[in-house]
Amino acid sequence: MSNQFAISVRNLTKSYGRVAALKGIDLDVEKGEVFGLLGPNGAGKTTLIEILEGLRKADGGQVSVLGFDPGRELDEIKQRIGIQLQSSSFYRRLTVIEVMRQFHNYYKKRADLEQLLELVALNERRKSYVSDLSGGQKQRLALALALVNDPEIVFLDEPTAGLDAQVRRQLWQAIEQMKRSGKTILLTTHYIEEAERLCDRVCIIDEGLKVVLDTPSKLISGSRTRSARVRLTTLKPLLLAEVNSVTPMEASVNGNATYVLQVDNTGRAIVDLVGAIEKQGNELLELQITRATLEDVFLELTGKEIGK
Amino acid sequence: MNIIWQEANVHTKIFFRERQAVFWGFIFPILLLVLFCSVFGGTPERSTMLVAGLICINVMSGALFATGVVMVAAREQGILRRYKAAPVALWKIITGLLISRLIAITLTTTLLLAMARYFYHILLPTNLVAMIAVFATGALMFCAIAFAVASVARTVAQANGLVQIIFMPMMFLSGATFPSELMPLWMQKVAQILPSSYYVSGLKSVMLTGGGLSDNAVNLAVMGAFILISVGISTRFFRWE
Repeated sequence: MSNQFAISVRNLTKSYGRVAALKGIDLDVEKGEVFGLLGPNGAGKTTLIEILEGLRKADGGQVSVLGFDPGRELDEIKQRIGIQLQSSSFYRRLTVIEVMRQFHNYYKKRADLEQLLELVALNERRKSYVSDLSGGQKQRLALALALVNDPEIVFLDEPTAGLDAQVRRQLWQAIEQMKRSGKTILLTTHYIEEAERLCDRVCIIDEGLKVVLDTPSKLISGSRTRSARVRLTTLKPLLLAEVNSVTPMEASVNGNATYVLQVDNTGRAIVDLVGAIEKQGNELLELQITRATLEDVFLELTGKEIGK
Repeated sequence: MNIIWQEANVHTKIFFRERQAVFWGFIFPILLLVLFCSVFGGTPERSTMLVAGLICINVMSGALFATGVVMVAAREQGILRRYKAAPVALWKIITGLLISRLIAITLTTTLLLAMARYFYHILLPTNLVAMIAVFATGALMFCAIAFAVASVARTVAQANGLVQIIFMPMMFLSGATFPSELMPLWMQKVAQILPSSYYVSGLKSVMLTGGGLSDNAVNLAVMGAFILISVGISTRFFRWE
């Protein structure tokens, strides 16, 4: 296969006993892009990523990573990629810098460790034992190890799973910095927000098959759930039957009245709503408009909620 | 070579930073030495015999518990998997680990011999080459057995059980604790299939009767065979995860 793409996969299959984890996946990852793999638990994300990393062997199909075949040229690939596994553990009685130096020495091409420590904000913990690190710090150490060889492709399997919001944002910044330095990044995630913010393109897989592959904005605008949601609160209950441009989804009357509405044409709907409120002698207290998210797309395509 | 040296260095650090390992590897053998020699010693000859057995026990536990079980634990916790993902050859990691364990075992043995010489006036081996050959072959043999156990066992619990099963008979039947001559004949026959019997016999020969390489040809050959078998099992069954 050609060297044009960072990663190329054709008709990839993999089974565990009788369970088919991947049922013929095709995809191409461009050089320099952040590519997101999304899917419910058990969709085959980790199997796919681990075949690309050379940790598992495919049953059938072709795989090319930077033009190399993981079956025959695994060492060439390993030298050029960085890996963060879904769960990483290290010998507890080694320090951060010792683990980093150990892995650093396995590679021909080596990144600057001081810069790396800074990137993952572990400078002050460089001499701490792994056993004394918090969950977030361990995750950042795993990320640093994925970068010790200044890799061309970085594989991140749920890089921010189980981290609090602040640590997650720190990691996002680190990933964005990696992207700016020209690396190709392939990540799996459970967090829609993460995919929307970081990924140039997203591939949703479900039950071992590719469901859709596109940019997050195209996925959102192309989906049936193109509609936005309007949430409004009025002083008194509102007669919505008169407003044709909205579809009520939820309503609650508790002193004031609050409605969640689905709308196709946001501008039209707002004009109609405001008109109806005036006509009925009501008063608008609060108005909020949210557009559809990748989460709606995901739900529509897989019938499942992500992360559940 | 650099990588092997690095791994040896890393595993030596990991070993010495665990208090438990230091206790079982260094303090416990000394306690055993004092116990054995002050109770059963008496003459330098008898103390020498006891120390030969102690060296064997110490090498066995250093290899089986501190190498075999620790390796299974590292696999079970998913530590080894990260190394599989890196461009480093398995044999380099294993060789490094092996070197670090041989260093630790040699240190303990030297300490044991020095203390036994000072306090209990044991006899020292006259043929140093034979002593080193027997000692090192036995240490390698138990490390190889440890890797075989680590490759076969699926969990830490299994590894522990397996190690106990082979450790206990080797400790009591092979002459490491009780002289084999005191045991009934059938027990002595059983002891002949244990790898430790050849180690203890070799150590006693070089330490007590000034045995040389040729006197220990059988012991060395049998231990060599155990090494080959264990390496075979390890390479056949080894798993990263």
